[in-house]
Amino acid sequence: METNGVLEVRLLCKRYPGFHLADVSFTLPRGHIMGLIGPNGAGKTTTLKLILGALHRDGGTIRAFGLDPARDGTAVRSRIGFVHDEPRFYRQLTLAQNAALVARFYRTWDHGAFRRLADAFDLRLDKRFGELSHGNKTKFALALALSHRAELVVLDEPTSGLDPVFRRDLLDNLTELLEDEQASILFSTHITSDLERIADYITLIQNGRIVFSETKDEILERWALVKGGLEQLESLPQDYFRGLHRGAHGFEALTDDAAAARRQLGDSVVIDRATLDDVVLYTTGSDSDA
Amino acid sequence: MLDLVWKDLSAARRLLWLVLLLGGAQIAAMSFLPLIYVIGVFIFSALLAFGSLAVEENQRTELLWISLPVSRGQIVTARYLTTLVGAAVGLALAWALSNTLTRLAPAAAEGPAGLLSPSSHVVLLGLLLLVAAVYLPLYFRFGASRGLLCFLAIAVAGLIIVSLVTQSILSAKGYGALTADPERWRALMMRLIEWAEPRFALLLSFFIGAVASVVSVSLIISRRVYEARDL
Repeated sequence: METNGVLEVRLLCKRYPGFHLADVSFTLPRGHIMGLIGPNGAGKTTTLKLILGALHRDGGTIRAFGLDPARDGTAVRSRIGFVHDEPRFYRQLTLAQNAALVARFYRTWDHGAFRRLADAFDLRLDKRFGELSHGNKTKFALALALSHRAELVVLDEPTSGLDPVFRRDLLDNLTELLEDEQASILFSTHITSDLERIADYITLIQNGRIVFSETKDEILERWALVKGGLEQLESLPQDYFRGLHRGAHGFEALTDDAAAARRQLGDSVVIDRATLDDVVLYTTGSDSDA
Repeated sequence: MLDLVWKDLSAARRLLWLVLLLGGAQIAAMSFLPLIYVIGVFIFSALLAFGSLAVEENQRTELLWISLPVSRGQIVTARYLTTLVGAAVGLALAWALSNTLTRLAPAAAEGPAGLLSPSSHVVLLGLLLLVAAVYLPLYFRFGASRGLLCFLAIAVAGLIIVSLVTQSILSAKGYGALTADPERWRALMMRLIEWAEPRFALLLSFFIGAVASVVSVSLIISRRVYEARDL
């Protein structure tokens, strides 16, 4: 992974009563999309808020465009477009009025781009924000985030609560709009299927710790689902798999070294490509007894 | 900075228009009863000064502003400016309205005419800013609703303390049974007015200076509190 990314996070720590974000590290290279995945409460939003400078970190470093958000928060945020999981704008104002309020704070605001995005998203600018559906609120927030030539777009669970068709449209729009841009995207979600379509890098966070942060292709190549009979488990060390589900007649397990599993277990088991969903389910223990 | 003030006023404009219309009507009706007018104006101006806080809290738009390229120091300073603007506009409007009405119907006005003077409105502005100086640090620490509860607790405690201290001073000066004797109370008030009237300009300057100092300290505290807060 590149070391001169648009966003570099090193050993990031944040302590709350009952929760500890510990040693979170990852790098997002310029022009790429990174998915930040993990179950609810894993620390995704905390990480994003630390990047924005909305929270104070207890340790580690963050460099966005080479700047520290804790010290140069205004400069960093001027180059970031942020979409909250639940977009907050003034309900009684129209979209045009809300956009005008936000636009005043960006020197790089491109009103033409905003109009084009609003058209692309089928947003009527004379409608009040409070009258929009959740999906359209997210689209409006996205249009604003992309209208000031942001170099980094940070999306916090933008697709949660949206129906699958709407989600697909949103992701298509996002990838189309960013095709010719140099922007990078950090996309937090627990809907991993969204990321299989658009992400270049995946960072899995669980209980406040990074499980992995790699390219999507590496992950999908390296991680695999292994299915076999219970008798085969007897000969394997207990920590051989990253996650294990025992059934009445066999087992299904997740390995992070598909090549080694193929070499050692050969044809005695079935080895399938793992989806990101499988990786999250098994590594977070949601579907395992290992 | 002014963009942030504009944002606060724009966001709350529906509420502000409502307050202006209803408050204006109320003030017009109360213009001839100066003591009630003072209470009405205080509430009217406070609503104009703090109305945008309620809108912000209700719609949780604070989350939006922390993701924009503005510093927390700017957000805090803009909030103080908005409060000052809201309070000053409220008082100026109330003064203009009451002044016009009492000129149109001078016979209907009762009580001390000085209560409707510009100076008395400056005193009211100072009192409102003192309220803001106590409330805003609590708002930036706890948010609008919890901040208001803390403010009310402090205000009640403050009133009790001031009342007890005043009673003690009056007792020590031989005015122990003052509340039971309206004539002595009236005499004391007259003496106080006689003492204050020739010194009013000086007292007003001192009051304005004290308010400015308190608001400045409050602003520094609010900035520190808000900058240290996790949002």
